[in-house]
Formats: sequence, structure tokens, C-alpha cells
Amino acid sequence: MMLDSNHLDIEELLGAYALDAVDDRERALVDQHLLECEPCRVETDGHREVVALLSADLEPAPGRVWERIAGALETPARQSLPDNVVPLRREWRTISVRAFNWTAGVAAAVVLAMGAVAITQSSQIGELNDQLAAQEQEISSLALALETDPLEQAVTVALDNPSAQIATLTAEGASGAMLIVVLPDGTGYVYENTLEQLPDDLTYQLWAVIDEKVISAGVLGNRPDIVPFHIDPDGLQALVITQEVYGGVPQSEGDPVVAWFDA
Amino acid sequence: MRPVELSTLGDAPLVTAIGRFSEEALSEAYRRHSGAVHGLARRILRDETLAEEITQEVFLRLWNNPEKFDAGRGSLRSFLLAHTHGRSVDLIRAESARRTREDNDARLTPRQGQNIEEEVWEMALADTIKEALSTLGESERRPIELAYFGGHTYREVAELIGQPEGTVKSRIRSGLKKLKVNLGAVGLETP
Repeated sequence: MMLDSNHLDIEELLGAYALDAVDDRERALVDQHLLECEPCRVETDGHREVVALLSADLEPAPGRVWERIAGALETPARQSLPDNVVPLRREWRTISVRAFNWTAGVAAAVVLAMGAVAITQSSQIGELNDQLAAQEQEISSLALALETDPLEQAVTVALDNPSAQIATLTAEGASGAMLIVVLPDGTGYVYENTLEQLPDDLTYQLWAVIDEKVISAGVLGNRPDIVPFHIDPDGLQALVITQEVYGGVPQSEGDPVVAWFDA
Repeated sequence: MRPVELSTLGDAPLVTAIGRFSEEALSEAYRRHSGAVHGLARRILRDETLAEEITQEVFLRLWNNPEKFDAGRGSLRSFLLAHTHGRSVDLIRAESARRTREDNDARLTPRQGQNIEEEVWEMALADTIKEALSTLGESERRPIELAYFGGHTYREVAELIGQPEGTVKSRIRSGLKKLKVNLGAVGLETP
């Protein structure tokens, strides 16, 4: 059967899609369509909520399953971060000079190829004052109490901070951009993303070039929404997004998707 | 800052806490949802060992990639169950493909028994859910059960019940829409 990829055909597939009852080609068509069609996305999410109710809690999973899970958890060294900040999923890695040379080369190539890299800098980095930190704590507490998303609250506070730096990561020819806000203490958030969704086996990864060293600043997932990270803001020269395999890589060999360079 | 009682947290702050590497938060998510996750995997796979492996995988994925959960798109429960279902179905279809290579006629046979609907029906669905499902006509209920609990594609369902593919596809969709209303009527609201 030939499947037309128009809205009505896709719409008719949404129920089967929510039940994983489509083939790989149809799944890819629906995945793509859902990126662009809010009504179909809402309908699909609704179907998934309905079928989730069909899976009643019949009996708890055997205790040995939790024991295996708990034994497999990897917890990195905790960092001293505000409570409203999610630490990086992976420890920072300072990658090799060779890798930096590669990245620097690519970065230069990107600059040449793009002609210009859009830079938006709302304000200069300054010191985070105690009052703001206290406000962030309070907002985080209130957000938890109200069961709202504390990350959204944190981004709102960050964007209102006159000392925050806002960077637009973009590139000529790229189909989207990524907006990042960085506070003076190095807390940052990816808060707006119009890059295309990647397949499940790929992820976007954020790299910070600081004092000529390239550091992984976080694995962002295949469809980043709001993602917190933390970097050392002193000596920040560039922020680069690459496309990597699921889980991220310690050092990248891929071309930058979008980038921002300090003026 | 006052201590947070994990059992009172909603999905989004709970997952945020998991993002901060809180094992207690993951344990709370496991307490809330592991029964459904494990139960669904076992229903689909009919194999306790595989069901436990899927359960482990689902919660480790939540630990390793909490950012994949988007509270704006649904509950944590539906997020976890969607992954559970997808992985379980992948296993079934991989097994089905292997059987196909071994025996061209065997692909549907192991799961094609005409009693599958009855088997599914008897697998201790909660009474309220049975009630909501029973309000669907058979033409909508069977395709949903065979696809969701049997792990079949809608084309396989069409073959199993002898209906056109387009009809099955439409009835799955219309059945899910009615089920949403029916589940609300028996006191199970979707978010």
C-alpha cells in the first residue's frame, strides 16, 4: 500500500502509532509529522495516556529488579550547585589538544564558511548577587510546592538577570538555532531550540571552548527543550553544538551544527 | 529551604530530582510505576526474565536520560509505559523475524491462536478497565487488545481478524477516542 504523507493519512495512523502497531516507515513518517503538527501531537499524547491506564498495577515488580537497578546506577561526583540546577549528566572532560586543534580548525572553517556567526549578547557577565540567589532558591521551592516545572522558573529568572549573557547559536544554512542563557556563576540553560529533532540513536551535545580547551558541557538529547548546564564562564570563547551518537562522546569529530563565538 | 517529601512531588519535579542524581527520587518513581511497567512487559512478552530486563532498562533509561521526559506532553507513567511497550514489541518482532527466517509460515503462528483475545481478557485487568473496555464494540476492542497486548501491527491485526487494513486502522483510532471517554466515566481520568 502506498501511503501518502498528507495530514489526513497521518492522522488516521495516530491510534495505531500510539500502540506501536505501525511499521518502521510509517513510524518515521508520523515522527516527522508530529514535529510540525500540534493537533496531531496532542491527539497522540492523549492516546498514550489512555493506553497507559490499561496497564493497571496488578502486582509490584519483584524486589530483585530494584536491587539490580540500584546496583547499576552511576552517580558522578556531586558539584556545588544551586538547588534549581541540574548538574551535568556526565563529568566534565577536558579533551586533548589534538581534539582542540581539530575543533579550532573546524570552528575557523565554520566562521569562514558561514561568513558571519550571529551573536547576540544581551549584557556583560557580572557577579551574581546573594539576593538573586536567594530569590532563585525561593522560586525553586515555590515551583516544587506548586508542582510546576522549576526549570522553566529558573530560566525565567535567568533571563531577567541583567548580568546574564544570551547567546544565539546558529550557522548559515542551518535549519534552526539554539538559544542559551549563561549566568555570571556559570549556570546556563538551553532554553529555546528550533533545530530538527534527531533520531533516537543520536543526540545534540554542547561544547564550551574555555581558554583554548574544549569541554563537554552536556549531552542535550535528541530534542532539547530546557536543558541546564554549568560551565566556567571565565575565558569562555565559544559554544558549539554537535550531533553525536546517543549518550554523547568524550571528544567530538563531527562538524558543528551551530555555534556562537565571543566577539 | 524545607525538605521535600518525595511522595508528594508531581512528575516534573520528581524527574528533576532524578536529574540531580537522587536515587531516592528514582526509587519513588519505581515505587509508583514499576508494577505497571513490569506487568505490561510480562503481558506482552509472556516471559518473566525478559519482563524484568525491560523493567530494569526502562528505569535505568530514566536515570540516564531524564531530559527525555517532557511533562508538557503527558504523565511520567505514560512516558515509561510507552518505552516499555515499544521495547517489548521490538523484542517480539525480532523474535518473529527470526522465526520467519527459519520457517516462512511461522511468523504469526505462535501468537495467532484464536483464544488470544480471551487470554488477554483473562489476564487480570482491573475491573474498572475491563468495564471501560467492555463498553467498546468488539470491532474496536479486539484490534486495540491485539495491537497493544499482543504486540501486533495493525496489518497483522487485519490479517488475524480478517478485516481490511484501513478499517482496522480507523477502528483503533476511534476506539481509543471512545475509551478516553469511557475511562473517565468509570473514574479513571487521563491528565
